[in-house]
Amino acid sequence: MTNVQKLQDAFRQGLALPASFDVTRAESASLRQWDSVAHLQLVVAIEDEFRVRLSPSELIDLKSYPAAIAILQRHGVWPDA
Amino acid sequence: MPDRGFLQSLDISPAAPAVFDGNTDLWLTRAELTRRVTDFAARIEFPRKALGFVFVYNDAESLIAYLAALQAGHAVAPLNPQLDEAFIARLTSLFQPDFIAGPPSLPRQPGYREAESPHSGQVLLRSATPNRHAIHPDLSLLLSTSGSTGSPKMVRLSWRNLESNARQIIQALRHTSQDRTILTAPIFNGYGQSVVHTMLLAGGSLALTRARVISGEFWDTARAAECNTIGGTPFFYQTLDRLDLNSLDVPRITKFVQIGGRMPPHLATKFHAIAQARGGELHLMYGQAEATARISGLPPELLPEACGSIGFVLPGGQLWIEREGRECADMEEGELIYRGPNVMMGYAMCPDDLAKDDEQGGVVATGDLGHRDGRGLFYVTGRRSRFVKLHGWRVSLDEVEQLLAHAAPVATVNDGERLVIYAERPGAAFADAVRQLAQRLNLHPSGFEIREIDAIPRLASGKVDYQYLRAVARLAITR
Repeated sequence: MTNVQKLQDAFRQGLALPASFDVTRAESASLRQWDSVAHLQLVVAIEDEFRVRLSPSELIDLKSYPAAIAILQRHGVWPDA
Repeated sequence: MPDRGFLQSLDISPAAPAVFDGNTDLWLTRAELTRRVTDFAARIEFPRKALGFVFVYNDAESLIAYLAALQAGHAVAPLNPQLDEAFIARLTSLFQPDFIAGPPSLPRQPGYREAESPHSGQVLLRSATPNRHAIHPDLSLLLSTSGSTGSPKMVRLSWRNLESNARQIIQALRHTSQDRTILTAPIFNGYGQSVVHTMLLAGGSLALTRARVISGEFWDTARAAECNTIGGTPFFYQTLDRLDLNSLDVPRITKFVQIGGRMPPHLATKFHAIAQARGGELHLMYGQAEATARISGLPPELLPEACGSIGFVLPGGQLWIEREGRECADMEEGELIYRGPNVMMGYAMCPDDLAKDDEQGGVVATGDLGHRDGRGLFYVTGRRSRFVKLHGWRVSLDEVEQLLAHAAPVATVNDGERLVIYAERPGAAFADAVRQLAQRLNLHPSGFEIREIDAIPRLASGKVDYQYLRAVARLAITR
């Protein structure tokens, strides 16, 4: 599975989005189901997929799909490490 | 009409801070809040006591509308503005409220006209044919039993219920006019309301923000308002643990309160230590909507040793354990029964129920199973009734069954932190149906676990054998 697939799966699973949803456009400000519970589920899903541990400030920064990529880049796991 | 309202009872300086709105970064003093609530209350006068739906966000405008509806002496149902439109329409046509207040996005309803709004941030709709239903003079608040859905089954609370429970909580938490908190739950939720009531009655102050707990904005608000008290569900503490409280730069917060389900012992121990290091305290509390909000609390002095306990009953209440109609001895398992001034009047399923008198006589069977130890501390060990708390939200098992019945024959059981759905030979689309249901209930699907089963076990009477399913659910977990 590619990194893109892994991250998209993590978003679909974490935020409980249907397969048809374009997760690259997912933003916490506009997505109703992106509440605190979904947020923590998303964090856990990303951590499991990429075997990383997000810091408290990264938890807060994780507000969109591009933000997730920036965080994974900082951890050196994006693109393929 | 007797005086109702949390702003009227105390000798608090009019210049004292009352509410900070983190969405606008503005403070309201006690005097300003009182004036705006009184202005709003004057716009919702009716020939007779009325029923109001108030759709509330966590912001000052919503709070004012909510407090005004209470102060005007009406019966108020605080509701989630993000409920879907079809559900709002159904609830409106069922209960036919005399007025509806809410944010500008509130869907307009047939049979209602827009009244002159007391302030810019709110819409006020008045029924064209008000006062169709008689309302009991004592009724103040209608609390949805399922906070996320706004289920038509509501708990009926009197002004006496609200005020007495707020006073009990103030006493247990030793709140004073110096306490200042930030809401971590919505105002339309029973726990959120109890925080509002308690803080305002104690003469303290509170900060509101629409931002989620996992956001910079939320903690900016807590910091800007200089909050010193915070409370939340076990899920809130799980979140706070991941966010690392000490890195959030809110050193003034020293008093911590937990409510809404059992706190895992490791989190209780950890936050007790964090609170102590700050010279503060952690209070573990227990309650339910049928007792307005709260029933018992564990004094911080008994932590960490007694972290599995729900503590002592609140002042003015009595708690005991009962089995087969008789009171149990210490350490004997049974159902927790509570008596107190905060016990609801009863339930309301339809507008006719609003006229009903008190049906409880001050006593409620909690549906929780547990025991009391030799020190008088209570422990909850299981649940008897058919609901489960998911992420701090109360979810009715029967409601979930009804809502999934179209997709497959199902039976649901409570497995502590999760709701287990047994589905009889579900099709491929069943998982999708559960996901949609979760979305409709504003819950994350991780709270639901689907298990396939060849046939739902039934008793000779044809009723689902829930006892068997609960046992199976437990086995599957410990496997």
